[in-house]
Amino acid sequence: MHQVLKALMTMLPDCEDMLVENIVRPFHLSDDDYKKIMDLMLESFNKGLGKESNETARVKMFPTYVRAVPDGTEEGDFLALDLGGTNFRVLLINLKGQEVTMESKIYLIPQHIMLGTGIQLFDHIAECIFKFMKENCLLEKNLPLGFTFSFPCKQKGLNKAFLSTWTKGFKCEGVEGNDIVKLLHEAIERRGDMHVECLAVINDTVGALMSCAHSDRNCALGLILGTGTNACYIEELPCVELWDEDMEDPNFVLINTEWGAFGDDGALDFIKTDYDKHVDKHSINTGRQIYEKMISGMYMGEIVRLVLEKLRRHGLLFQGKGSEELSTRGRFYTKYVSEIESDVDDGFKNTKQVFDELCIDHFTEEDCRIAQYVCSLVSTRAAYLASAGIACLLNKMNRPEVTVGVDGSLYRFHPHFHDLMMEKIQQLLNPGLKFKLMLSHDGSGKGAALVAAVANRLNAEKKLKAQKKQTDNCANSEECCQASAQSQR
Amino acid sequence: MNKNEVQVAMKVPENLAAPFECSSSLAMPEVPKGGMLVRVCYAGACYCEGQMRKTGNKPRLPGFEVAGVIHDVCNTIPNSNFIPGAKVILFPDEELANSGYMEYIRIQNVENVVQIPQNMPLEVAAMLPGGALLSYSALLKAKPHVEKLQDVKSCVNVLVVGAGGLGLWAVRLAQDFIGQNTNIRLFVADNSIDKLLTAQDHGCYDIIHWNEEDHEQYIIERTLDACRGGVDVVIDFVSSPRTMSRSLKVLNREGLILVGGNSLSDVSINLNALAAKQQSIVGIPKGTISQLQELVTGVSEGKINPPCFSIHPVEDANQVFEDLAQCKITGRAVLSFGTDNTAMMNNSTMLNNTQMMNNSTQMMNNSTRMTNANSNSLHYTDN
Repeated sequence: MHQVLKALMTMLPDCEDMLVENIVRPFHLSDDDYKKIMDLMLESFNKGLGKESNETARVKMFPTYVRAVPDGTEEGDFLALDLGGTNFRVLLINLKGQEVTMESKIYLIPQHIMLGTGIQLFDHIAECIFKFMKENCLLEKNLPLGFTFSFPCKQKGLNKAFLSTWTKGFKCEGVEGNDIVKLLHEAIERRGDMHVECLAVINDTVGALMSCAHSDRNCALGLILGTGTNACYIEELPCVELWDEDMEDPNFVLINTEWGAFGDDGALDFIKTDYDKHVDKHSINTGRQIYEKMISGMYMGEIVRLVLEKLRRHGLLFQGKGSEELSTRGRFYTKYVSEIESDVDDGFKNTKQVFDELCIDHFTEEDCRIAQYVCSLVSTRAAYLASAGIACLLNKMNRPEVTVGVDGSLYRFHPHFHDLMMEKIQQLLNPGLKFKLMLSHDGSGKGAALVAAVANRLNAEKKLKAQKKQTDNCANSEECCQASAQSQR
Repeated sequence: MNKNEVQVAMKVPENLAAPFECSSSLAMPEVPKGGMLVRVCYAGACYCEGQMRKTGNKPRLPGFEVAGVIHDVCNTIPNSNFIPGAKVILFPDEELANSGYMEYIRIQNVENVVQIPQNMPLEVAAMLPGGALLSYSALLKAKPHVEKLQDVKSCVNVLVVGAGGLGLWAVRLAQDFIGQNTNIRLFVADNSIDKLLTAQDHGCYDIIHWNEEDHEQYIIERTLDACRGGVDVVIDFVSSPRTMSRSLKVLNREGLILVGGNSLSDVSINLNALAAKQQSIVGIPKGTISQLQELVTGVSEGKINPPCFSIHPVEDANQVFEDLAQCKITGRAVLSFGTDNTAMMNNSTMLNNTQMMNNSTQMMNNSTRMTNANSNSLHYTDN
């Protein structure tokens, strides 16, 4: 059968191209498709914000309790923690106006702790904090700490975050449904050899926004395009129907959209390809994070691999002969996509190296071209889908000028992602609105410190306000004055 | 005395699933003229060897690091030199390269036989002729360069790529070289977190996770972040296109890269960049017999602290190589031969030299981490 096909193809040279097109066609989406996606996303966002509808909404729109962006007066030393994967970082950050200096250390998390108990995990984290503080001679100090915890959390306060569910390979028991700040403080208590107080928990999107806002006051959106994808933005309090705190100034709060879950209710079925379905079926969280699975780094390589394998089975790639590696799920790393698309001439240097690492012995220049084509279709669709989400939020916020703080390996290392997004967002944005995409440097570290600094500042202001209120009320009563004099001693 | 002994033949496999076979044969080799017969007790198992056999290449390490006892000596050799029953290791030479794992080895050239002192266990000695010797040779080659840089720089960064047996030996041997010098920092990079944590236990300055799934630029950033001031010397036992490219991107001017020579692919290098930055790439020389002698002395005197290792019966060789490839075994793996060694096997645990000298809590840490590994091959005295 394969021989007949080949014979036919030599007779009709255009046929082969057409067959490739047939296999990759589902990745070509029209402008109308992206407009429809924007409309559906807006519906999802509003559903998440609505009081009654939030329960069944898939896109949860969690309030982050961060109500201030940095105002440039942040000063002092802060500790930050960054946990989002196998790397755990402890940072010491010094803020002085626009100047930020950082010392940091990475501590690896071994497999048995990722799969062990919550107590083991937080004991390990506390131990790493101790080691870091000792090395940097901080044990005598009492530094405020910000924690970037990049897992889906329901926050009940700036430093009260309840883990909804573990993702990214973690599975520590006794943590889901619990307040991770409490768990951290308990572990620190157990050690008894350091003074650390966690003032704020944020996730990586908030970090990206805060970090960018530190140098660009127009930043109102934080975006992560890495192993996963997520976005946060500044929303006005009246729109957040589930808001349960005060409605005073500042009249806004950062919303963590957790937009990866968009499409879990079937909203994206009209563009879902067989490859997306396959990836979803074989993932740890089937049926969930549908939008994320079409965009982020954790899945992009696998989608490309499935397309290449289909082409190979049809004899259109590598003359039908692949390799064990190419047939192995998860073996086509997303970084290969960036590397293949970085080849600019017919030398295909990177592409050939990837084929070599995948133990593909025989390939032609045509194979290289096809591989590059497939990669570009998958990455372009990802970039355009993310653009639709950003444009939707920008239109919703309706601010004349917005900077989007972006972080993540996909955005940073893919040769075309930035340009593709600039082009697409511009196309989908309402007329009269302007935007900028800015790489957020080390949002998880700097961002956490900034939030801790802001929390520190707000705490101090609150204390001052409360004290002032007390002295005002006691203007006439002598006992009150005595009481306040006592408390000041 | 003809015994039924086990001959393990190494074949270049057609079937990837079974690179090694155990077969028994009846013939006891004869003592060569002017030579001797050595009964093998332990042989080191090296990760890269399993890989190379799979692809049909010949590994640079000849295939085993052998420790055993002298079984018989040709009567032309003066009696006092070699006595049957003495503990010996064999210097890896071309002569041994193609003989495969055998229980009895014919040695033509007795100069390749190095005696080891009675106080050194054979299983430790088995690791010396191959991995330890190569690491030692690499460090000796790097030494003059490091010393030259020490005079002009406040801090010299040395990066070891690969946290397997070779890397761990490099960490331990470097400790002897570095001594109290706090301005020489040793870093270890590897794809496996478990292996890196083992390396950290062995006392390197810091570990860097070279996760194969991460983008190259990210890996380089992380490396430069950990090695402040860039890297001055790289000892790359892996030497793949990727590790070489990363090494070149983090290497300082006048930096030196030492390559191991077990690479599975060709690597292309931009010579102009090399010249512009006055960097050098040097192959790690094969160690000499006198260097091997130095190692034996160093270990027996306690100056050199061998890395942790585990002992497995030779019948499990296939599984051992599989486990090494999947990083289920961290530290060295040593294969043991013959039933006479069961007494030693029953007493064996995850050992390191300090445990032999005195009890060490480090062994406990190693034992608990090994619970993930193939528990058939490891024996614990306590857990």
